[in-house]
Amino acid sequence: MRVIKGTSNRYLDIDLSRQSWTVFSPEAGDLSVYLGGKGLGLKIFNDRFAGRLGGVDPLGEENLLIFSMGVMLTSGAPCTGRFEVLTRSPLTNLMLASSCGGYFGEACKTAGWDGLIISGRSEQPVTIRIDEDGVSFHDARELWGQGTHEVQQSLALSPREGAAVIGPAGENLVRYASICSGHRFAGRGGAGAVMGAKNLKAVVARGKSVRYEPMLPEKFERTNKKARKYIVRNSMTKGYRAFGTNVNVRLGIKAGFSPVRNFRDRYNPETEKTSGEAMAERYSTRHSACRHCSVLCGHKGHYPDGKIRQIPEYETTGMFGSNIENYNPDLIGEWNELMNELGLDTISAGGTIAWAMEAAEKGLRKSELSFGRTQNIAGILEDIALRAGEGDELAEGSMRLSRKYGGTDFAMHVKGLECAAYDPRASWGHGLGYAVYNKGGCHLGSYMISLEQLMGYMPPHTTLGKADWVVFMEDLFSSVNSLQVCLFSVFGILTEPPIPKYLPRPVLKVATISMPKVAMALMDWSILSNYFWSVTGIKMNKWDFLKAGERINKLERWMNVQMGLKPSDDTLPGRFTKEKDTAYKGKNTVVPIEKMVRQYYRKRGYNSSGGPSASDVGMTEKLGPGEVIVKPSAKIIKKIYCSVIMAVLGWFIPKIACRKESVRDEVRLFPENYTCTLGVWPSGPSVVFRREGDRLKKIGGRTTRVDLGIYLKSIDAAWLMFTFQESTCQAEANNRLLVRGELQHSCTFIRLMDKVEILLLPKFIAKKAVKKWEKVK
Amino acid sequence: MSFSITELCIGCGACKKACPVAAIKGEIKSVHEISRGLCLECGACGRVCPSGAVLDSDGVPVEKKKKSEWPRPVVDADRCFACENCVGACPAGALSMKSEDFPFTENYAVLSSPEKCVSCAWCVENCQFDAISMEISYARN
Repeated sequence: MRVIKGTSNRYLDIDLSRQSWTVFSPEAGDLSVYLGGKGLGLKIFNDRFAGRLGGVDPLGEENLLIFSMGVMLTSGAPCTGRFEVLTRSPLTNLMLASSCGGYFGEACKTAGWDGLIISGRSEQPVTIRIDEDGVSFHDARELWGQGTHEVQQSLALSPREGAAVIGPAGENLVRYASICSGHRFAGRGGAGAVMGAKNLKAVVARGKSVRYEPMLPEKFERTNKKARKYIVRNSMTKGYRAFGTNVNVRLGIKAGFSPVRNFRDRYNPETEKTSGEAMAERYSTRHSACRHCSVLCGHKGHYPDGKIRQIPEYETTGMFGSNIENYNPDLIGEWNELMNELGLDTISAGGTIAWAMEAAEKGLRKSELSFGRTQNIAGILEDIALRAGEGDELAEGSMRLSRKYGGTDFAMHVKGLECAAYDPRASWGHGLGYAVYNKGGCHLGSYMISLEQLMGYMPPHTTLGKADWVVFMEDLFSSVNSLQVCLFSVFGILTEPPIPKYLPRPVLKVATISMPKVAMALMDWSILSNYFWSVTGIKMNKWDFLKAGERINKLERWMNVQMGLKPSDDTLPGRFTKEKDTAYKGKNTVVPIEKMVRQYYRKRGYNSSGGPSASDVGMTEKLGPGEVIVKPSAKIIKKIYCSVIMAVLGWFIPKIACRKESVRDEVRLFPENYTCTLGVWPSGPSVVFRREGDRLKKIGGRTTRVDLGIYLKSIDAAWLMFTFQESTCQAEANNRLLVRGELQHSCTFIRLMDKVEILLLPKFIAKKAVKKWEKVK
Repeated sequence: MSFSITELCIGCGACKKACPVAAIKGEIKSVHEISRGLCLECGACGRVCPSGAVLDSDGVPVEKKKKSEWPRPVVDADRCFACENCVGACPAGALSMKSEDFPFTENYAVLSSPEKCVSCAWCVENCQFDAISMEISYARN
């Protein structure tokens, strides 16, 4: 058997339109920068469409479907049997990276390929078979229409083969169709529909032709031993091992994060019937996990009708249990099996159905669906997959439906992707995670609820430190998804080292929010960076690993901005931010999402586009003819001086100036809650105000979403103005100011600033700064 | 790559019977052939071949061995977490769980059909808990 040291760094580049293939090797440096898996997949996607990402039709011929394997697959390390699927999502129109634990990944990798890049569209339904020699194309007309497990049976897979397939939902371009491998799924965001649009029914890989060895075997073994020990003994993974992810159900009842009646109620005691503990007893469950897993969260069980079925995951249980007022776990198990066979994402299907139920209740849209009615759910699910009757509309997802019929406040999605079954009103950081995650309302962007509720490491109802933690977890998870290690195992790796494990909870709770950076440093994810180092031989410490995650996350965000993401998309459904009172008896809150998103933007350094600057992600900005970028020079003294002036203004205006009646008169000319900023373009010091009553309030040093922006074009322009060598009017005449917003309000702002200068400065200086010195009343 | 059969083959059919995935074709008394797509590279064919006609993927002849000398998986029940990954991975269907009646906390994998085992060690590769070792069980003779 051929042995490869490290990883092959070879992707199969397959064109379905021409039924041809070539071998593609990413540039040598890309692996160390983007780690493989998700990161490298994103880089490949971005490079293929450089400058025209926005024009890619998700269901068009041009869109790419990338399967990317990661360096850890087949290394034998725990929880590494996973691969990543990347494409532009038909549900969100943004980048999609979905992780799957099926055998296909291992088969593809041991055929000698780090991934597949599939482009084009076949005329007829087709199946691709790959092995170490390359690719062959086979007619799949007979397989078209078959369910995900049925087609894997029809393909008569040998023990060396693994397949990634779609069901009828993918064929019929349901916007949230999934890709299936074995009994695991790349569920979210509609990767199945992209595969269906390409007329690709299945990809079969024949593996076990190649064996991989780590570059540094001793280091790898040491790391491996430690990881196994941590994962097996961790309390969170222990819970998952015993009862599956449904162990969260009881916690949800207690803490109030259960989704009840389309997230209206947060609480219903009957949810207990669908708890992991209850189901383990009722179905005498067995493990049914991914290969190479030591968490073992997947379970199967004996149902009363005599069948052995996969036990639904927590999210499915929530979305098809309490969220549609069904408390019969047998039905959830049957629907779960049906959706798996049809190739539907259970979370988005559940979210869409719950929206349709509430919309019908409120008279916005006619539907045969209603809360508590379970007889017609199986029929509806089949209709969705076949796009028949009402199912045709439901196949579009809740965002599109609510835009058509109204009811956007209770369409529980972010960026088009339906929120998973965790109510963020019980866990604010998790809410921020939903709002800002590149993929949309997925719980696994930062999975903050694990720290806030499941493990109890930080108080859930505070905004303190949350942005720091979301940034940290997103970066870590981006890297983990690029190595391709299971996210659940990461909790064992992170929290098992002695300090986080044995520090008393109250101390931990204070430390995590008041000193987030210190608390992070006490956790240890060096196992993950050592994995990468030992397998590839590329030196990496834990901070480099985190930095790589940041790079990957920012690249994805940058791509999303090119694809049309707006800063206003980083928010939560109205229900989470407006509806406070629920049936839950504990603490009822709404999520202060705007504040947290602002903090998050600041931490990330995102600009007004909603993403990082081009230079931040190593891209060159695309300029029109004759355009030149003018950037403030890095003159430290000038920068510090201007920052001080901004800070003084930020204190002086709300505290002192707004006491004067004539200043208040000016403030009243702004609409209520109007936000304005004064700053140095593009990313120099700035100050932001908001009108509250007849006063201005400082709301932060730097933000991106303001109604009015007045910028000085460079730090030198700011220096001239703030050292009073030039008055505001003179600066404007010299074309040193840039205004974004309405002109009338900008004039008000300038008048206001004049008055502030008169108040703040001694007369002989103020006279230089303003056009005409007048006493302020 | 896969295993292959050379001209030394006498067409006895022993390899055909030993192959767990029916990857070998050939008439009695004619040279047999291994299907490249199906071969698992477990080496069972070579270990039963009386004429040393089977070459492994590196082209080295596979040594004949008595079935009783084949290494077979031994599961340490205390270490086993009953994840069933070895059962799923076994290409020959030689492993199963001890009992469906046990709760999974007490259940463990066993070599229920030792005669089917082809010593491929896929179960060992797939065990995350170091619960399986390949051993030659002289006691059975």
